[in-house]
Amino acid sequence: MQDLRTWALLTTGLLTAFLLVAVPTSALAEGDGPPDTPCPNGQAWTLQPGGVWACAGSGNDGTKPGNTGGTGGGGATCPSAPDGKCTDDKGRPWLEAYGGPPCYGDSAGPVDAGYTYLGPNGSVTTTEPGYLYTCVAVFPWEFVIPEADAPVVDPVVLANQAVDRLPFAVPEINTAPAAGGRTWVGLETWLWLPDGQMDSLSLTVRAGATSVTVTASPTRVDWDLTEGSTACYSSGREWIRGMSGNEQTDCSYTFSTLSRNQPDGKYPVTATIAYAVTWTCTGACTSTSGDLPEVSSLSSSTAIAVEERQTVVRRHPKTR
Amino acid sequence: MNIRRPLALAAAGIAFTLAAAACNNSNGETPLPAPDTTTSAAPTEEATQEPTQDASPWTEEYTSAEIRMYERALQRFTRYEELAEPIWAEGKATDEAEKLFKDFFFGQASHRQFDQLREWEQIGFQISGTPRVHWSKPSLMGNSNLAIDQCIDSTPLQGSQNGEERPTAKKFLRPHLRTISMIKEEGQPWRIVTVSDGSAQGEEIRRCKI
Repeated sequence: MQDLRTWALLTTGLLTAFLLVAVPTSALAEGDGPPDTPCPNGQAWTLQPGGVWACAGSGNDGTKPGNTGGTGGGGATCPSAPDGKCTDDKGRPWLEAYGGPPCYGDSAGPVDAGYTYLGPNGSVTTTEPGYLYTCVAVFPWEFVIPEADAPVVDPVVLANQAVDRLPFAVPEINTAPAAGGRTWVGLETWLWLPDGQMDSLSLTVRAGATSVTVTASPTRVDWDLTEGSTACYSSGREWIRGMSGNEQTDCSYTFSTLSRNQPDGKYPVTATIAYAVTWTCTGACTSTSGDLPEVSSLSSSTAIAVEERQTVVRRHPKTR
Repeated sequence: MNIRRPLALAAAGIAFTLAAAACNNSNGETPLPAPDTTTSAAPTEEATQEPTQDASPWTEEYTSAEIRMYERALQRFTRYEELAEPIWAEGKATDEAEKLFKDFFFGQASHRQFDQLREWEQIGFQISGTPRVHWSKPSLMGNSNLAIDQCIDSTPLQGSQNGEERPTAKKFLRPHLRTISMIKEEGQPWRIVTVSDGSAQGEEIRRCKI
């Protein structure tokens, strides 16, 4: 009997030990994900700055938008703006509480204290430094936002705006044999663009205290010759009349078929310049530099006929 | 009946229980190294990303004027973190807090800080402590702005919500990068524009070597 009691006690002890090991002392999960226990009141686990979990909001995937501070961060939404976007697709910040209806503001840059501008009720002189804006779509007059209220603009939006304004070259196609003329099957046809068409382009765009400079650097020229295509990593080399047959180029194409079945009996030839784009931000920057996706210039076209060289064989009579 | 074997098993079970209890804190998590230990936090568990930055010497890349600029900016950010810690630890959106954010943050970034603190007050959330900084170095140097990369870990942070402890995601306990962008306009002190530590929505955490 005593043995049975002992066995019962020991078994209970072992089972208890097993349960204590197998069942976590808390339902909070280890690892990178949120805890297992649900949040109360319809809230959801949200990651706070520093990586600490909190129950907040109305349910998301557990991350907060727009971290802007040390042990705290702020949301980057503007509830009164269209679609809640604090910056429009032109990089203009949503501006509120400056004395007029809210709008996306065009920035004219920083101004010092003592700057005079035309407000809704006449001229106004600033008493502190700020940033000059206009809301052209709403009203034509100007206003100055004090530095303490200066918006912080997403530099990527400004960078994209700058790219839209870059004066990309329209490729001027050159071939040898000459385009518009003809080339021959099996003959290396040189392809090139004039000097200067492969230069880098740069532009700076500013909104308030945020200034973004984009640089577009040409990386290659994509040639489409209808029969086939080739990518050249330079502008090519100009063929100059009188060059010897030993001269070489790093950009050429050799046709293998005649063009007589093409419209007008010619192959269309198109060239497009591809650019790699980077940006840097100065001033009030939410990030300091980055890359944008590759951009292509407009394409230009010409046409070239591809013919076959006729070989003439002359029979020489044997001399006796 | 010989009860030695059952006793031995029971003892083993109890010993195992005690050992398991010692290996778990009240949250069921593996205990973290104490803040003052020198244990390396080299990431061995996470196999998703190799550290991309380390504390290699950087001073040769900058002029002495740039280095001074960086040191002043870093000093200013460090001062902010010291002054702000009790504010975030209390979790109350006070006038004092609003003033501090205006002093140290640029433009609307200060409003967003205060909005964050107001939200914490509403949900009863606080964080005490400041991240452990392993190293700092500049990552961008402009004429009036710069960015600072710091390799940090969140082990000193203690989060709580309405009296209940809140855990830190494991990946933040290991060394990761925090980037601080700052601006200095003429006549103004250095001010913080953004601080990115990988916790914001859509942000990736970036590993660093100690």
